[in-house]
Amino acid sequence: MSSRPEHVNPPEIFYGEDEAAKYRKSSRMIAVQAQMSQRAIELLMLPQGEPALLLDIGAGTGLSGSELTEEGHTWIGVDISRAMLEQAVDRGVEGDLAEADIGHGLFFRPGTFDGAISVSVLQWLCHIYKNEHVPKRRLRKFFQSLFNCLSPGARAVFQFYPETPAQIELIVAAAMECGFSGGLVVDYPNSKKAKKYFLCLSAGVSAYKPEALGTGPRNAGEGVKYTEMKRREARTKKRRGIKGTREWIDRKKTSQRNRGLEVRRDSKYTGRRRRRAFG
Amino acid sequence: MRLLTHNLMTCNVGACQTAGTNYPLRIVAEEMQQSEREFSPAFVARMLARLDWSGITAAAEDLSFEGIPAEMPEGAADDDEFLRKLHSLLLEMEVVTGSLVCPHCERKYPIDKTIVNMVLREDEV
Repeated sequence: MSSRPEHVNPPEIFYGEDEAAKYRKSSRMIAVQAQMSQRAIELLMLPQGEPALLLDIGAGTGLSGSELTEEGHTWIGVDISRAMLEQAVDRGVEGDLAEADIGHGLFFRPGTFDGAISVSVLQWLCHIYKNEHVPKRRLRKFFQSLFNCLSPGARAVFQFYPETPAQIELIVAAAMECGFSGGLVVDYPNSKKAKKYFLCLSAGVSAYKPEALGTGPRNAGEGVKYTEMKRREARTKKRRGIKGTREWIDRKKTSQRNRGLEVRRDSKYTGRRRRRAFG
Repeated sequence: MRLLTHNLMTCNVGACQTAGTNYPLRIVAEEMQQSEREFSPAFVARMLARLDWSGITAAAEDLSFEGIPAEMPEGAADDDEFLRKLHSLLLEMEVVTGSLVCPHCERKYPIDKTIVNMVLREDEV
Protein backbone atom coordinates (compact mmCIF):
# COMPACT_ATOMS: atom_id res chain seq x y z
CA MET A 1 0.00 0.00 0.00
CA SER A 2 1.07 3.52 -0.64
CA SER A 3 2.71 5.47 2.16
CA ARG A 4 0.91 8.64 1.13
CA PRO A 5 -2.24 9.27 3.18
CA GLU A 6 -3.96 10.92 0.20
CA HIS A 7 -4.05 7.54 -1.52
CA VAL A 8 -5.68 5.81 1.41
CA ASN A 9 -8.81 7.79 2.16
CA PRO A 10 -10.35 11.24 1.78
CA PRO A 11 -9.15 13.65 4.49
CA GLU A 12 -12.38 13.70 6.50
CA ILE A 13 -12.04 9.93 6.91
CA PHE A 14 -8.27 9.63 7.13
CA TYR A 15 -8.12 12.18 9.93
CA GLY A 16 -10.59 10.28 12.06
CA GLU A 17 -10.48 9.66 15.79
CA ASP A 18 -7.40 7.44 15.57
CA GLU A 19 -5.34 9.88 13.56
CA ALA A 20 -6.51 12.77 15.75
CA ALA A 21 -5.38 10.83 18.81
CA LYS A 22 -1.92 10.50 17.26
CA TYR A 23 -1.74 14.28 17.03
CA ARG A 24 -2.52 14.42 20.72
CA LYS A 25 -0.10 11.78 21.88
CA SER A 26 2.86 11.64 19.54
CA SER A 27 5.47 14.14 20.65
CA ARG A 28 7.32 13.65 17.37
CA MET A 29 4.29 14.61 15.29
CA ILE A 30 3.61 17.59 17.52
CA ALA A 31 7.22 18.76 17.23
CA VAL A 32 7.22 18.42 13.43
CA GLN A 33 3.93 20.31 13.10
CA ALA A 34 5.10 23.06 15.43
CA GLN A 35 8.36 23.46 13.54
CA MET A 36 6.64 23.72 10.15
CA SER A 37 4.10 26.17 11.54
CA GLN A 38 6.84 28.36 12.96
CA ARG A 39 8.61 28.40 9.61
CA ALA A 40 5.34 29.23 7.84
CA ILE A 41 4.73 32.12 10.23
CA GLU A 42 8.27 33.34 9.66
CA LEU A 43 7.68 33.28 5.90
CA LEU A 44 4.49 35.32 6.33
CA MET A 45 6.72 38.22 7.40
CA LEU A 46 4.02 40.01 9.35
CA PRO A 47 4.85 43.43 10.79
CA GLN A 48 6.30 43.09 14.29
CA GLY A 49 4.15 43.87 17.29
CA GLU A 50 0.87 44.26 15.43
CA PRO A 51 -1.80 41.80 16.47
CA ALA A 52 -3.29 40.42 13.25
CA LEU A 53 -6.30 38.34 12.27
CA LEU A 54 -5.13 35.22 10.47
CA LEU A 55 -6.71 32.24 8.78
CA ASP A 56 -5.45 28.75 9.48
CA ILE A 57 -6.35 26.47 6.59
CA GLY A 58 -6.41 22.87 7.71
CA ALA A 59 -6.26 23.88 11.36
CA GLY A 60 -6.57 20.27 12.55
CA THR A 61 -5.99 19.95 16.27
CA GLY A 62 -4.88 23.55 16.43
CA LEU A 63 -1.14 22.94 16.70
CA SER A 64 -0.34 25.61 14.13
CA GLY A 65 -2.94 27.85 15.72
CA SER A 66 -1.23 27.62 19.09
CA GLU A 67 1.91 28.97 17.48
CA LEU A 68 -0.12 31.90 16.11
CA THR A 69 -1.57 32.57 19.56
CA GLU A 70 1.93 32.56 20.97
CA GLU A 71 2.89 35.28 18.49
CA GLY A 72 -0.03 37.34 19.77
CA HIS A 73 -2.33 36.90 16.78
CA THR A 74 -5.99 36.01 16.63
CA TRP A 75 -6.98 33.26 14.22
CA ILE A 76 -9.87 31.42 12.69
CA GLY A 77 -9.34 27.83 11.63
CA VAL A 78 -11.04 25.71 8.99
CA ASP A 79 -10.66 21.97 8.52
CA ILE A 80 -12.67 19.17 6.98
CA SER A 81 -12.07 16.68 9.76
CA ARG A 82 -14.59 16.86 12.56
CA ALA A 83 -12.50 14.57 14.78
CA MET A 84 -9.45 16.82 14.54
CA LEU A 85 -11.48 19.96 15.29
CA GLU A 86 -13.11 18.38 18.33
CA GLN A 87 -9.66 17.49 19.55
CA ALA A 88 -8.73 21.17 19.14
CA VAL A 89 -11.77 22.24 21.18
CA ASP A 90 -10.86 19.74 23.90
CA ARG A 91 -7.35 21.18 23.99
CA GLY A 92 -8.91 24.61 24.52
CA VAL A 93 -7.31 26.46 21.62
CA GLU A 94 -7.90 30.20 21.35
CA GLY A 95 -9.04 30.28 17.74
CA ASP A 96 -12.53 29.89 16.39
CA LEU A 97 -13.13 26.76 14.33
CA ALA A 98 -15.27 25.86 11.34
CA GLU A 99 -15.70 22.55 9.56
CA ALA A 100 -15.48 23.15 5.81
CA ASP A 101 -14.25 21.76 2.52
CA ILE A 102 -11.81 24.32 1.12
CA GLY A 103 -12.34 22.87 -2.35
CA HIS A 104 -15.81 24.47 -2.19
CA GLY A 105 -14.25 27.85 -1.60
CA LEU A 106 -13.90 29.85 1.61
CA PHE A 107 -16.92 31.66 2.98
CA PHE A 108 -15.51 34.89 4.40
CA ARG A 109 -16.25 38.46 3.45
CA PRO A 110 -13.72 40.26 1.22
CA GLY A 111 -10.64 41.75 2.88
CA THR A 112 -11.11 39.86 6.13
CA PHE A 113 -7.68 38.44 6.93
CA ASP A 114 -4.18 39.85 7.36
CA GLY A 115 -2.70 36.56 6.25
CA ALA A 116 -3.16 32.83 6.06
CA ILE A 117 -1.09 29.79 6.92
CA SER A 118 -1.63 26.17 6.08
CA VAL A 119 0.37 23.11 7.01
CA SER A 120 0.20 19.91 5.00
CA VAL A 121 -3.09 20.54 3.17
CA LEU A 122 -2.73 21.49 -0.49
CA GLN A 123 -1.77 18.01 -1.72
CA TRP A 124 -5.20 16.77 -0.65
CA LEU A 125 -6.84 19.04 -3.23
CA CYS A 126 -5.00 17.27 -6.05
CA HIS A 127 -6.95 14.06 -5.57
CA ILE A 128 -10.38 12.90 -6.56
CA TYR A 129 -12.56 11.45 -3.83
CA LYS A 130 -16.00 12.04 -5.32
CA ASN A 131 -17.42 11.97 -8.83
CA GLU A 132 -17.80 15.73 -8.78
CA HIS A 133 -14.19 16.39 -7.83
CA VAL A 134 -12.08 18.09 -10.47
CA PRO A 135 -8.76 19.01 -8.82
CA LYS A 136 -8.09 21.97 -11.09
CA ARG A 137 -11.53 23.42 -10.47
CA ARG A 138 -11.33 22.86 -6.73
CA LEU A 139 -7.91 24.51 -6.53
CA ARG A 140 -9.16 27.47 -8.57
CA LYS A 141 -12.24 27.86 -6.41
CA PHE A 142 -10.12 27.73 -3.28
CA PHE A 143 -7.45 30.20 -4.41
CA GLN A 144 -10.06 32.56 -5.82
CA SER A 145 -11.97 32.69 -2.56
CA LEU A 146 -8.73 33.00 -0.60
CA PHE A 147 -7.61 35.92 -2.73
CA ASN A 148 -10.91 37.63 -2.04
CA CYS A 149 -10.91 37.19 1.70
CA LEU A 150 -7.33 38.41 2.19
CA SER A 151 -6.80 42.11 2.69
CA PRO A 152 -4.81 43.77 -0.12
CA GLY A 153 -1.13 42.89 0.08
CA ALA A 154 -1.73 40.12 2.63
CA ARG A 155 0.25 36.92 2.29
CA ALA A 156 -0.49 33.24 2.51
CA VAL A 157 2.05 30.51 3.18
CA PHE A 158 1.32 26.85 2.51
CA GLN A 159 3.57 24.02 3.55
CA PHE A 160 2.64 20.99 1.45
CA TYR A 161 3.88 17.61 0.29
CA PRO A 162 3.76 17.47 -3.49
CA GLU A 163 3.81 13.95 -4.87
CA THR A 164 5.01 14.82 -8.37
CA PRO A 165 6.35 17.88 -10.19
CA ALA A 166 3.05 17.93 -12.08
CA GLN A 167 1.22 18.51 -8.80
CA ILE A 168 3.41 21.50 -8.00
CA GLU A 169 2.72 22.88 -11.44
CA LEU A 170 -1.03 22.37 -11.04
CA ILE A 171 -1.11 24.11 -7.68
CA VAL A 172 1.16 27.02 -8.58
CA ALA A 173 -0.64 27.61 -11.88
CA ALA A 174 -4.02 27.69 -10.12
CA ALA A 175 -2.72 30.23 -7.60
CA MET A 176 -1.22 32.47 -10.27
CA GLU A 177 -4.40 32.38 -12.36
CA CYS A 178 -6.28 33.75 -9.37
CA GLY A 179 -4.04 36.82 -9.18
CA PHE A 180 -1.52 35.79 -6.55
CA SER A 181 2.13 36.68 -6.91
CA GLY A 182 4.99 34.86 -5.22
CA GLY A 183 6.23 31.35 -5.70
CA LEU A 184 7.64 28.19 -4.31
CA VAL A 185 10.28 28.19 -1.58
CA VAL A 186 12.09 24.90 -1.02
CA ASP A 187 13.94 24.59 2.27
CA TYR A 188 16.96 22.28 2.33
CA PRO A 189 16.51 21.22 -1.30
CA ASN A 190 19.52 18.90 -1.13
CA SER A 191 18.31 16.91 1.81
CA LYS A 192 15.84 14.08 1.38
CA LYS A 193 14.62 14.28 4.95
CA ALA A 194 14.63 17.97 5.77
CA LYS A 195 13.36 19.12 2.37
CA LYS A 196 10.19 21.14 2.76
CA TYR A 197 8.01 22.87 0.19
CA PHE A 198 6.41 26.21 0.99
CA LEU A 199 4.13 27.98 -1.44
CA CYS A 200 4.40 31.67 -0.59
CA LEU A 201 1.69 33.84 -2.09
CA SER A 202 0.90 37.51 -1.91
CA ALA A 203 -2.51 38.96 -2.71
CA GLY A 204 -1.15 42.00 -4.43
CA VAL A 205 1.65 43.30 -6.56
CA SER A 206 4.46 43.27 -4.01
CA ALA A 207 7.61 41.43 -5.00
CA TYR A 208 7.43 38.63 -2.49
CA LYS A 209 9.87 35.78 -2.63
CA PRO A 210 11.38 34.78 0.68
CA GLU A 211 14.67 32.95 0.85
CA ALA A 212 14.80 29.21 1.36
CA LEU A 213 16.84 27.60 4.10
CA GLY A 214 19.81 25.40 3.30
CA THR A 215 20.55 26.92 -0.10
CA GLY A 216 23.02 29.72 0.64
CA PRO A 217 26.82 29.43 0.21
CA ARG A 218 27.29 28.89 3.95
CA ASN A 219 25.55 25.56 3.51
CA ALA A 220 27.83 24.43 0.72
CA GLY A 221 29.62 22.08 3.12
CA GLU A 222 26.43 20.13 3.68
CA GLY A 223 26.46 18.69 0.18
CA VAL A 224 28.76 16.06 -1.27
CA LYS A 225 32.38 17.25 -1.63
CA TYR A 226 33.99 17.22 -5.06
CA THR A 227 36.78 14.78 -4.24
CA GLU A 228 34.35 12.47 -2.51
CA MET A 229 32.11 12.63 -5.59
CA LYS A 230 35.05 11.67 -7.84
CA ARG A 231 35.93 8.77 -5.60
CA ARG A 232 32.35 7.51 -5.66
CA GLU A 233 32.22 7.79 -9.41
CA ALA A 234 35.44 5.80 -9.72
CA ARG A 235 34.08 3.11 -7.42
CA THR A 236 30.88 2.76 -9.44
CA LYS A 237 32.84 2.58 -12.65
CA LYS A 238 35.06 -0.17 -11.26
CA ARG A 239 32.06 -2.17 -10.17
CA ARG A 240 30.22 -1.80 -13.45
CA GLY A 241 33.23 -2.17 -15.76
CA ILE A 242 33.94 -0.10 -18.81
CA LYS A 243 30.86 0.80 -20.81
CA GLY A 244 30.63 -0.87 -24.21
CA THR A 245 32.81 -3.91 -23.46
CA ARG A 246 31.50 -7.46 -23.84
CA GLU A 247 31.36 -8.01 -20.03
CA TRP A 248 29.43 -4.80 -19.55
CA ILE A 249 26.95 -5.76 -22.24
CA ASP A 250 26.52 -9.28 -20.87
CA ARG A 251 25.85 -8.01 -17.37
CA LYS A 252 23.39 -5.42 -18.60
CA LYS A 253 21.53 -7.98 -20.68
CA THR A 254 21.32 -10.41 -17.76
CA SER A 255 19.97 -7.76 -15.47
CA GLN A 256 17.39 -6.71 -18.03
CA ARG A 257 16.37 -10.35 -18.59
CA ASN A 258 15.96 -10.71 -14.85
CA ARG A 259 13.62 -7.77 -14.90
CA GLY A 260 11.55 -9.51 -17.55
CA LEU A 261 12.43 -7.20 -20.42
CA GLU A 262 12.76 -8.39 -23.97
CA VAL A 263 16.46 -8.76 -24.77
CA ARG A 264 18.22 -9.89 -27.97
CA ARG A 265 19.81 -13.34 -27.66
CA ASP A 266 23.56 -13.62 -27.13
CA SER A 267 25.63 -14.59 -30.14
CA LYS A 268 29.19 -14.32 -31.37
CA TYR A 269 28.26 -10.94 -32.85
CA THR A 270 27.18 -9.46 -29.50
CA GLY A 271 29.09 -6.28 -28.78
CA ARG A 272 30.96 -6.36 -32.07
CA ARG A 273 31.13 -3.41 -34.41
CA ARG A 274 29.30 -3.67 -37.72
CA ARG A 275 31.49 -3.71 -40.74
CA ARG A 276 31.51 -0.49 -42.72
CA ALA A 277 28.89 -0.50 -45.48
CA PHE A 278 30.89 1.15 -48.25
CA GLY A 279 34.58 1.03 -49.08
CA MET B 1 -18.47 30.10 17.23
CA ARG B 2 -17.69 33.63 18.31
CA LEU B 3 -19.44 36.73 17.05
CA LEU B 4 -16.29 38.07 15.40
CA THR B 5 -16.28 35.04 13.12
CA HIS B 6 -20.01 35.43 12.54
CA ASN B 7 -19.44 39.01 11.46
CA LEU B 8 -16.95 37.93 8.83
CA MET B 9 -18.89 34.96 7.45
CA THR B 10 -21.30 34.60 4.58
CA CYS B 11 -23.41 31.77 3.19
CA ASN B 12 -21.26 29.75 0.80
CA VAL B 13 -23.99 28.25 -1.37
CA GLY B 14 -23.17 29.12 -4.99
CA ALA B 15 -26.51 30.76 -5.77
CA CYS B 16 -26.30 32.97 -2.66
CA GLN B 17 -22.73 34.01 -3.47
CA THR B 18 -23.90 35.21 -6.86
CA ALA B 19 -27.02 36.88 -5.49
CA GLY B 20 -24.92 38.72 -2.88
CA THR B 21 -27.70 38.59 -0.31
CA ASN B 22 -25.92 36.02 1.83
CA TYR B 23 -25.16 38.28 4.79
CA PRO B 24 -25.58 38.41 7.76
CA LEU B 25 -26.37 34.85 8.77
CA ARG B 26 -29.14 34.57 11.33
CA ILE B 27 -28.04 33.05 14.64
CA VAL B 28 -30.21 30.46 16.34
CA ALA B 29 -28.50 29.82 19.66
CA GLU B 30 -29.41 26.96 21.92
CA GLU B 31 -26.50 27.23 24.28
CA MET B 32 -24.13 30.14 24.82
CA GLN B 33 -21.04 30.52 26.95
CA GLN B 34 -18.82 33.36 27.99
CA SER B 35 -15.13 32.78 28.51
CA GLU B 36 -12.59 35.36 29.52
CA ARG B 37 -9.98 36.28 26.94
CA GLU B 38 -7.07 38.64 27.02
CA PHE B 39 -8.10 42.13 25.91
CA SER B 40 -5.97 43.74 23.25
CA PRO B 41 -7.21 47.26 22.46
CA ALA B 42 -4.88 47.44 19.44
CA PHE B 43 -6.46 44.35 17.92
CA VAL B 44 -10.07 45.40 18.49
CA ALA B 45 -9.33 48.88 17.12
CA ARG B 46 -7.80 47.27 14.07
CA MET B 47 -10.90 45.15 13.54
CA LEU B 48 -13.22 48.20 13.56
CA ALA B 49 -12.58 48.91 9.88
CA ARG B 50 -13.32 45.32 8.97
CA LEU B 51 -16.51 44.86 10.94
CA ASP B 52 -19.86 45.21 9.31
CA TRP B 53 -21.96 47.07 11.83
CA SER B 54 -25.24 45.81 10.39
CA GLY B 55 -23.96 42.30 11.13
CA ILE B 56 -23.32 43.23 14.75
CA THR B 57 -26.74 44.77 15.29
CA ALA B 58 -28.36 41.77 13.59
CA ALA B 59 -26.45 39.37 15.83
CA ALA B 60 -27.36 41.39 18.91
CA GLU B 61 -31.00 41.23 17.89
CA ASP B 62 -30.88 37.47 17.31
CA LEU B 63 -29.34 36.92 20.73
CA SER B 64 -31.45 39.68 22.35
CA PHE B 65 -28.51 41.65 23.67
CA GLU B 66 -29.19 45.25 24.58
CA GLY B 67 -27.12 48.39 24.55
CA ILE B 68 -25.61 47.97 21.09
CA PRO B 69 -25.70 51.31 19.23
CA ALA B 70 -27.36 51.29 15.80
CA GLU B 71 -24.31 52.95 14.24
CA MET B 72 -20.65 52.61 15.06
CA PRO B 73 -19.94 55.54 17.41
CA GLU B 74 -17.51 58.17 16.22
CA GLY B 75 -14.02 58.03 17.67
CA ALA B 76 -14.58 54.41 18.64
CA ALA B 77 -10.93 53.52 18.14
CA ASP B 78 -9.87 55.77 21.05
CA ASP B 79 -12.72 54.90 23.37
CA ASP B 80 -11.20 52.27 25.63
CA GLU B 81 -14.42 51.45 27.39
CA PHE B 82 -16.24 50.92 24.11
CA LEU B 83 -13.45 48.72 22.78
CA ARG B 84 -13.61 46.61 25.91
CA LYS B 85 -17.35 46.15 25.49
CA LEU B 86 -16.85 45.21 21.86
CA HIS B 87 -14.09 42.79 22.81
CA SER B 88 -16.37 41.06 25.26
CA LEU B 89 -19.13 40.85 22.65
CA LEU B 90 -16.99 39.71 19.72
CA LEU B 91 -14.39 37.49 21.33
CA GLU B 92 -15.76 36.29 24.64
CA MET B 93 -19.33 35.39 23.72
CA GLU B 94 -19.53 32.01 22.08
CA VAL B 95 -22.34 29.94 20.62
CA VAL B 96 -21.83 26.36 21.83
CA THR B 97 -24.79 24.72 20.12
CA GLY B 98 -27.28 26.13 17.69
CA SER B 99 -27.15 27.01 14.02
CA LEU B 100 -26.61 29.74 11.48
CA VAL B 101 -29.28 30.32 8.87
CA CYS B 102 -28.78 32.03 5.53
CA PRO B 103 -31.18 34.98 5.02
CA HIS B 104 -31.46 34.18 1.31
CA CYS B 105 -31.72 30.41 0.87
CA GLU B 106 -32.56 29.44 4.46
CA ARG B 107 -29.70 26.93 4.43
CA LYS B 108 -28.93 25.81 7.99
CA TYR B 109 -25.36 25.49 9.21
CA PRO B 110 -25.38 23.57 12.48
CA ILE B 111 -23.10 24.54 15.37
CA ASP B 112 -22.04 21.82 17.75
CA LYS B 113 -19.34 21.98 20.44
CA THR B 114 -18.66 25.57 19.22
CA ILE B 115 -17.68 24.25 15.77
CA VAL B 116 -19.85 25.46 12.90
CA ASN B 117 -20.32 22.99 10.07
CA MET B 118 -19.99 24.83 6.75
CA VAL B 119 -19.54 21.72 4.58
CA LEU B 120 -21.73 21.97 1.49
CA ARG B 121 -23.28 19.23 -0.61
CA GLU B 122 -21.68 19.03 -4.03
CA ASP B 123 -24.86 20.28 -5.72
CA GLU B 124 -24.89 23.40 -3.54
CA VAL B 125 -21.47 24.57 -4.72
